[in-house]
Amino acid sequence: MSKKHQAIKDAALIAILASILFVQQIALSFLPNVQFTTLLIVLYARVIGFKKTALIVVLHVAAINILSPFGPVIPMHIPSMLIAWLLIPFLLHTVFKKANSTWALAIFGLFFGFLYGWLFIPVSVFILDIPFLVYFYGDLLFEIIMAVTNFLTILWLYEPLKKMLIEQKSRYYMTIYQPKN
Amino acid sequence: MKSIALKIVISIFVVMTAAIFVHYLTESNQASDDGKIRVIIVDENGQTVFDDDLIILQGDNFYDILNREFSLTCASSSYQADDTCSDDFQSFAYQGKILLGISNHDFNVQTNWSDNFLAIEQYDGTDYYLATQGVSNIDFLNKDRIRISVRSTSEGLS
Repeated sequence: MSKKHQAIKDAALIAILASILFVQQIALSFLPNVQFTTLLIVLYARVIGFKKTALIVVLHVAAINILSPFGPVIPMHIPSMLIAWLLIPFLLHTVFKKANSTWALAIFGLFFGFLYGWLFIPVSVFILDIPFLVYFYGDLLFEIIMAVTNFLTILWLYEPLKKMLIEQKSRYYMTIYQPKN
Repeated sequence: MKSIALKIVISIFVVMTAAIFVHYLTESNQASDDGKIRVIIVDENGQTVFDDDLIILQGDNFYDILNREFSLTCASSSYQADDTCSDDFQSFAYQGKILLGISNHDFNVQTNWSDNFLAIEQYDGTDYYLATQGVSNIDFLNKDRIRISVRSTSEGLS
């Protein structure tokens, strides 16, 4: 496959995976913090690599803030949102590079639910003037919901989705897929 | 098989632990006794249109206090203005009313959720800070001071 052909295929793959991320988040947005976003970003980071996942995250944050029928987040929170989602591929390719088991990733997802909420604290406290403890306490419920959702979705869906995505990716790039078992 | 059983057990444990925390965090804030609360209402021009004490009756939440004194407009389930305030959000994370407008015979303050909203702020003795709960679930005490003001969504909250 030529480099140009490869780049076109990469761009199409990134667009497709970003749209899956966007659609599921919009579809589930009536349930606060219940989403497959963490699961999908973990999956993308493990299967298609850091660079492509980072691009998908950038597209996703832009799409959510431009196209969401519920409107954008407060503009000052957009950097926090971007950093938070980018942390998943970053951490999975650095500190947690060796965390490949479903259990390890599910526990990562559990803690990430809290980390995601905490990354909004600096802007909320220092720019929006919300007292730290009031914000922390108010957001805790949503962090718990996200943490549990992340844990359960990764625990139950990561393995089957990973298998499927690897298989589809191999077909897409026209390489030979050889299942281990 | 053993792995699936372990997954089920751990999943149930995690959900139950979370449910206990959620139950603890979502206790409703109702007045334990009769009293009064100072309410300040500021319109879209920054003009104070109401500044007075309102009566609290035992068992009231903040919405009940406002509803007794003013004509309220709430959000319907599709976030449209609803003068009857009949919709009550009952999601496990969003409970109660969403206040869009407040009026009496002297003033009328309305917002539309998309372009502007009613910011509810509590006074801590030195300054006002944004409440982190909605109008139905704000934690308040006798003689507290609460300010409701119109804010543009594009300006952020500060």
